[in-house]
Amino acid sequence: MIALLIAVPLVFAFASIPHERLGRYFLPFVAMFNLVCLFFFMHPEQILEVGKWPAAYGIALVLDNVSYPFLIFVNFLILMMSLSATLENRYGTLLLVLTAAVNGIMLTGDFFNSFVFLEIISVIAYIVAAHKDNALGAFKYLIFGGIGGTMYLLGAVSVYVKSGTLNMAYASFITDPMVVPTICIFFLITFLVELKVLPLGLWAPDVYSNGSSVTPIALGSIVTVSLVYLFSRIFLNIFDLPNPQLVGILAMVSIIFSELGALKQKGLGRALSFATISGVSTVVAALSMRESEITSAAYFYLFNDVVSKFILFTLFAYLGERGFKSNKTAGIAFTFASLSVVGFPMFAGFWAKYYLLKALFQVNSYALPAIILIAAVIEAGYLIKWNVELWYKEEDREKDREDVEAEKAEGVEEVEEVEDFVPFGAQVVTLLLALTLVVVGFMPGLIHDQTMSIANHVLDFRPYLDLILKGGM
Amino acid sequence: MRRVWAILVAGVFLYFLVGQFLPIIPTFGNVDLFARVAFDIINKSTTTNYNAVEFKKSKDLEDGSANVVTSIVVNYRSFDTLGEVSVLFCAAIGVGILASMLKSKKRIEFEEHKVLRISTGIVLPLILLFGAYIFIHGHLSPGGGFPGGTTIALGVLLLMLSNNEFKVTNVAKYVEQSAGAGYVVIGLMGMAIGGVFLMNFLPTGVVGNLFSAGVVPIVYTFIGFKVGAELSNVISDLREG
Repeated sequence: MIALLIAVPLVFAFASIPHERLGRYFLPFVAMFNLVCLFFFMHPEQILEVGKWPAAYGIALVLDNVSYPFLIFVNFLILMMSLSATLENRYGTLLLVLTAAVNGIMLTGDFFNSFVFLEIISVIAYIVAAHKDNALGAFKYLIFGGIGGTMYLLGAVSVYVKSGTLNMAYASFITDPMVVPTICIFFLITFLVELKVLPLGLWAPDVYSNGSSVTPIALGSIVTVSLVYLFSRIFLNIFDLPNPQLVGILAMVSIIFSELGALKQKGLGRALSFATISGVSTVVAALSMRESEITSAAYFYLFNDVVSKFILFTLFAYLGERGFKSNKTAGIAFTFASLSVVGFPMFAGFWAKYYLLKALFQVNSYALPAIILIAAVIEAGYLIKWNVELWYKEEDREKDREDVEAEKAEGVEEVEEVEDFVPFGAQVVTLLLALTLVVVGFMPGLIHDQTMSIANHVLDFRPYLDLILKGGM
Repeated sequence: MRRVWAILVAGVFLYFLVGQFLPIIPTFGNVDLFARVAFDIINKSTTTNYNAVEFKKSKDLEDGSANVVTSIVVNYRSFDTLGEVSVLFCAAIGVGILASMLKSKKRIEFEEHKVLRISTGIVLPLILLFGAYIFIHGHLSPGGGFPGGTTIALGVLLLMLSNNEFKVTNVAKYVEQSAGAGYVVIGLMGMAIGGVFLMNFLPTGVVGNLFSAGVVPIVYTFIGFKVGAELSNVISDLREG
């Protein structure tokens, strides 16, 4: 049954080949179908041995208490993106395959299978990165991502060489603990590239700032969440993170540099891209601690960061450099999201930072809290600056109108509407997500209970192993 | 400065590969196959006890392909292959999108040659037949859907080189659509009949016979058609601009 989450998007993707626009109409329905299936028909914990081959030999799909909430969140994001983004021909088909791939990477319990899904995600990511003629950014990503993907393959091969199976649970059970750190270095490099930890994440600013309503959402929100899941699965659940302190320090340096980078940028797109790098680096730094409260707070932080950046990037794509005076709905959503990123009280971001700092202080860790607080100050600086600039921007309406009239005079048929530059779907989605941030700000328990449950399950390897071994060897 | 960084990073990585990674890899030819799942997969005994497999004699095994690579690719790990089909599919869409982004919309034309044109008429059916042979016999001999489909697409390329008027029509897209969806539908049929996605629900027959290995030849036929149509579309996208 859980295979439907992958099979159905794929069938619709293949079915939409001859009609280039069909994919974009299928996408919201498929995302909705996945959500309905997840809520009503699929519940953790269950395992599916694809092709009826025993887990050690074939491929096992696992729906457990860790992957279940992640799947719901990612499919929800896909649904939101399908409503808010402007999808050109054939992009709908690509995003259907992306849906199948992110669901696959979160369900699979097999190293090589996860590489295959990572490969699909990468290929789609390169194409999506090239949206809006952003060839240079896409090429940079191709080089970084290509190296990262190769490392993952080498890691998967090494696991097979040392353990004789590709099943994640069996492999971690059998593999010699002495060689695990060496093998994990390969996986780690992939994650540092894909999760944009500087300096390996230097591709991100060029890719995310292309002004598309698809690229930063698909890569920065959907793919990032699924890869944070895989990171947690491999380094918190199955194996131990190699050199956790080094990873923590690298992530902390990444936070500082990306915040400074964001402060220095003159364009909003690049500033937001650096802010995204900082957000994910914070999550990686927190996850490298391997402690349940901190892990839970890291997931809460991820939730807030992804939802806020979804709003910010979507509005940036439609607004460009225009102000909010003629579109106050968009302005309100933008401001709410910025305040939530900074960690203003009454928004989800406040609780994200509060839980994280509290959990870190409990284990007497002071370096990361200091950096998070410094980062929050810098973040507040540039985000408030951008908000003020966009709210008080004098609209170039007169100029736009003149342009339109000039175009009319030249006989140009297609005249863009100047007034409604944010489409209705995008307005509804951003407003809905902004409201979510406020609601979570008042009732943090809604998300915190879930993240606590994920954190407790992800740090306990035994239930995962039992599920695959079905309670015995 | 960049160069110094590059040399430093390359040096550290080389040290890791030579100093840390190479010592944990078993020496060449010294692999204990019994300790790996490959042993049971090669002997077709993952769900049953070990029995020697004999060509043209062993019957109704858990997997009926004589070609062990095929048995892994399309039976034991068919789900990965479905993923690889999707990778190629996305790459083909990517080429299409890139080609449509090109500024110059000039169609590539070749100088026509009578000898090439007439010989293409003779060779083309043989190429198509050979492509079909490769994917239909994928479970018996080296080959399968990917090389078979590529061979067919090469036939289309030859046709394109010899004839400027030739165009890949929309039929290729419909073939790609039905073949791709067909693969997933076969998987879903396994789910309907056996309760598990991508289950081999047909009898596996005698190892080495054309009609054996259950759904494997059917899946390879779908992949062959899909890859052939997809690569033909890629060539066409590159030509038409």
